[in-house]
Amino acid sequence: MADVAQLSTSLRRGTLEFCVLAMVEHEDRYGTEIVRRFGDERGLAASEGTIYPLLSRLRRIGWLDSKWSESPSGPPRRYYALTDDGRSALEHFRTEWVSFRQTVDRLVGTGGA
Amino acid sequence: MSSDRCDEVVAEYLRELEQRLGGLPVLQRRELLGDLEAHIVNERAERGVTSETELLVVLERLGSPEVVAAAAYEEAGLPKPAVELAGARRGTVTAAASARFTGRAERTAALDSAEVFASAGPTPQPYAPPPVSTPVVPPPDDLFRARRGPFPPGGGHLFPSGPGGRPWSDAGPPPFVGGPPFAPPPPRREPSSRAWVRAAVGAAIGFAVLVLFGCLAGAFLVQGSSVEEPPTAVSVEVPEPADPPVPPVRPVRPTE
Repeated sequence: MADVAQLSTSLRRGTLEFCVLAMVEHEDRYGTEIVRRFGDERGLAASEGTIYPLLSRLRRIGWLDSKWSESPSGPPRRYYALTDDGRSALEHFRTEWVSFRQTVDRLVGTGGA
Repeated sequence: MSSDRCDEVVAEYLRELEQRLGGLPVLQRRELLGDLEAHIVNERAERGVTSETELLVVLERLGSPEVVAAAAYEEAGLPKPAVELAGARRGTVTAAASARFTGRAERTAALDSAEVFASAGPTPQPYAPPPVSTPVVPPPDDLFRARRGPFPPGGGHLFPSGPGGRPWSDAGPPPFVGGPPFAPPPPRREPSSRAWVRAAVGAAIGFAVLVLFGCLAGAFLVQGSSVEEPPTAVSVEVPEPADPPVPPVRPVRPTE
């Protein structure tokens, strides 16, 4: 039987990356900033360190762009920005997600009301 | 003091992580290690981390090297090498304890020197030793893990066995050194088999040359004899009309 952790991992897979894209949709953010945000989200239960490989992959597939910038305090920061491809992917996900969520809600009985 | 201690802890964390990332492409590995190092530095600066205890909290939030490495392999679409941490790794950790971040290079370099060269990163010096450690590779009975530096050469002998019917497939690694022996055999056979042909061709050419020389010599003799006659005739004629100005007159006519 799949334990809770396994379920969480399964649910996170395929959706977390779009949460990352959405986080930099309107504003460039640096790695630590993004990672902290996810670390604060209990529901995602993701170790901060696991976000960096994800950022790396999103950059390699061209959904994110990154550039190093000097920090007013401390070491240089690597800022991430959404690319046009990333924006398209995010929009597509939003459409699919609404449809997917409604279907699951209906089948599982979590539709509310 | 505590700062040094914290640096040690961070170095140890990154070192263990790097050891677990041996199966990743070098650029991805470097990128991830750089990101995590920057993250830790940021956290220490922005959260005012001064004690080891506080630092451990930061590292705990980051996740254990095992967890981070697992995520890295998953994102890279690569299988996680289960044997990664075995044997040599541990030894390197203690040996390079004082090397901090760059210490990782030595082990990694030994494993994949090719990648190391490609990286040409900020730690080229530690990579020098790898060649020295390569001899250790010969005993690859260790494991078939990731990729050992020697695999390129060793892997090569797997394929060559088929084509060309080269004998090195039987002897494995040692045969490689025996590569040279191969070269000799062919040359010996070829020369011996072609010797007769060459000798025959040489003889034919020599014979042809002799015949040619003979013909030429004959021709010269014939010409020589015909030339000799005129002089005698001339000498005979000249004395007779020597007094009259016959010889001088002939040359003068054309000039006028």
